[in-house]
Amino acid sequence: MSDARRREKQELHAFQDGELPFWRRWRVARRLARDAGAQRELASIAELRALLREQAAALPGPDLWESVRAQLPTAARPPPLDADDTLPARAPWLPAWVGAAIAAASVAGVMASGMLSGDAAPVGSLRWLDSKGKPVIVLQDDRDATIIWVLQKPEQVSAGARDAVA
Amino acid sequence: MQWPRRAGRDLGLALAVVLSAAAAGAQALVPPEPGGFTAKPRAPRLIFEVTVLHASPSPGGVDPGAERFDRLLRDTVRYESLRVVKAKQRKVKLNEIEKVELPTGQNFRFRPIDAGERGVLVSVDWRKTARGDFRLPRGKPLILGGQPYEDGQLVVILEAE
Repeated sequence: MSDARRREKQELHAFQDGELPFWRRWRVARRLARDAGAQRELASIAELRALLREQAAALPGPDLWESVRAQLPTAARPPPLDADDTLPARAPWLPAWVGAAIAAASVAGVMASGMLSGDAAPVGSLRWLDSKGKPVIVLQDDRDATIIWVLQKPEQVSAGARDAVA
Repeated sequence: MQWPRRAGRDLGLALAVVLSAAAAGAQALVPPEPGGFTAKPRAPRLIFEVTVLHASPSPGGVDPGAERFDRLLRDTVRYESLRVVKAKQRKVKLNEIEKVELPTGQNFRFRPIDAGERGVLVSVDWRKTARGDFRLPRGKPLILGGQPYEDGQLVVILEAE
């Protein structure tokens, strides 16, 4: 997408949000009056915003966990592993601090790689990061881009599901 | 000999133009501040682009405005559609806090701390998700993702121009 095209799109987003000063607003309105493509673009922006607002406003669905659990086969739980076994019984469920430690290690690793590069200008952009206790992955930090993903659960986790995990 | 009225009017007009030009020139010679100091230069404004994307597992394709980011993300993040929710340009002074409202109602805030040849050092605060400092060379995007939103996730991209 060309720079001019990108500017036009940004202007339409700003127009939709009512962020433009009078003069630029007038100019965009004039362009909209004669440019069918711009009209379609603006309609698409407005439609997407409306859709997202609508979904955000929708009430959360009923908690179906109890009815699902009632239909699950009642298979006997496997016996707990012997105390001599090296793996603890809760091995499949990594405790939260392990995730945090991995996150801290990955962030520290990225930062260290930047610091150990000698006199050369560091390639990575990340200086420090606080993910507020949540696991975080630095997917990429090179000349092209810095991509950081914070692993978060949706806030609407049902109580039933939480109980099942715990 | 009598001057024609029109010639007199033209002469008056020319005289007015010459006088106003002279006045403008004299004004330019006056130092802007007493004591001969020049006026303090204006703090430069840094230009940033903020793009907010919605990555969703529902089919829907990739918006043309998101194609560049799709090329960066498609190998590492799983989604079926990538749509541009917002694309903003912001002109910000050093140490000025700028914010962009996200569809979640939260603000994505950033503050340029330092600007140099290696790019702009920016402090970023995405509430409830993460905060940090990043050195952004011109045109290199900082892509932050992971905040759950609807059936997918929000992705915020910050670029310095």
